Amino acid sequence: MGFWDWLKRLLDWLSGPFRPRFRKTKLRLSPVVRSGPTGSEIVVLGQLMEAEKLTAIANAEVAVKVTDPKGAIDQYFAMTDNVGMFSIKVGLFVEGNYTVHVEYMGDGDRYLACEASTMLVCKPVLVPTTLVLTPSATEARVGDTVTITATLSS
Amino acid sequence: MTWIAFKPVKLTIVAPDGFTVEQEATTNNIGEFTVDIGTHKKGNYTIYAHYLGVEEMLQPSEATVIILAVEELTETKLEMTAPETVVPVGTNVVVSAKLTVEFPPV
Repeated sequence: MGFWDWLKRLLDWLSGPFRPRFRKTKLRLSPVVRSGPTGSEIVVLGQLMEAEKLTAIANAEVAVKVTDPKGAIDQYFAMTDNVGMFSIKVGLFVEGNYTVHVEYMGDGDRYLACEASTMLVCKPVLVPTTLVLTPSATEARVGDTVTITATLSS
Repeated sequence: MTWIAFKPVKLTIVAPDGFTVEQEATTNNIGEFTVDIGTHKKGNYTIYAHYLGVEEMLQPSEATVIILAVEELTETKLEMTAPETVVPVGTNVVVSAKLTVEFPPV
């Protein structure tokens, strides 16, 4: 066995049991509701976990990017809690679709990066309406006809 | 307040025996419509109106009214007569009463 073969076998041996094992990760985003009227706020719950065992990844930083219907972007970082959860509050101010994108950059020693997206819809505010029924009488003899006037307004 | 003109409203009319009629009415230029309810049985007539609204603009609304239909009562008459209306103290007076009913001509 030459020197290079010996060196290669040594390197293989070293990289075997001591080689860093990266684990796949998974981000799950769950909006409490998927749409809301203009001026409302939607909470999106997020969870970061290992992809295979689904164990929580605690105290990890995730990058949050919220894009509104006009393309304006709001970016910030959030931290997972001790059960891998975090929450994002999205204020809806422009009618249309909001995109929430979250990215986990991974951990140099253990975890691979992952990302997830979800879409929220901002709808216009509905105007309340009122329907009123006014009968000509609330008590009548059998055989009589009662006229009901209805009024619909907003 | 703004009238909602020329919009359909669903009506459900429930008679005392549970018989249900569904119909649709349309509001006029001042947001009104009228509907005549004929009462044929005694009891409660429930009129339920439902406006579906306009998607992404107007919310739905609804209203209910109850009309009580009662039997036609026949008039009765009670007449009392006394032979004398002024008598000395100690006198017994016999008062007659008459209860009659007048059925309407058929």
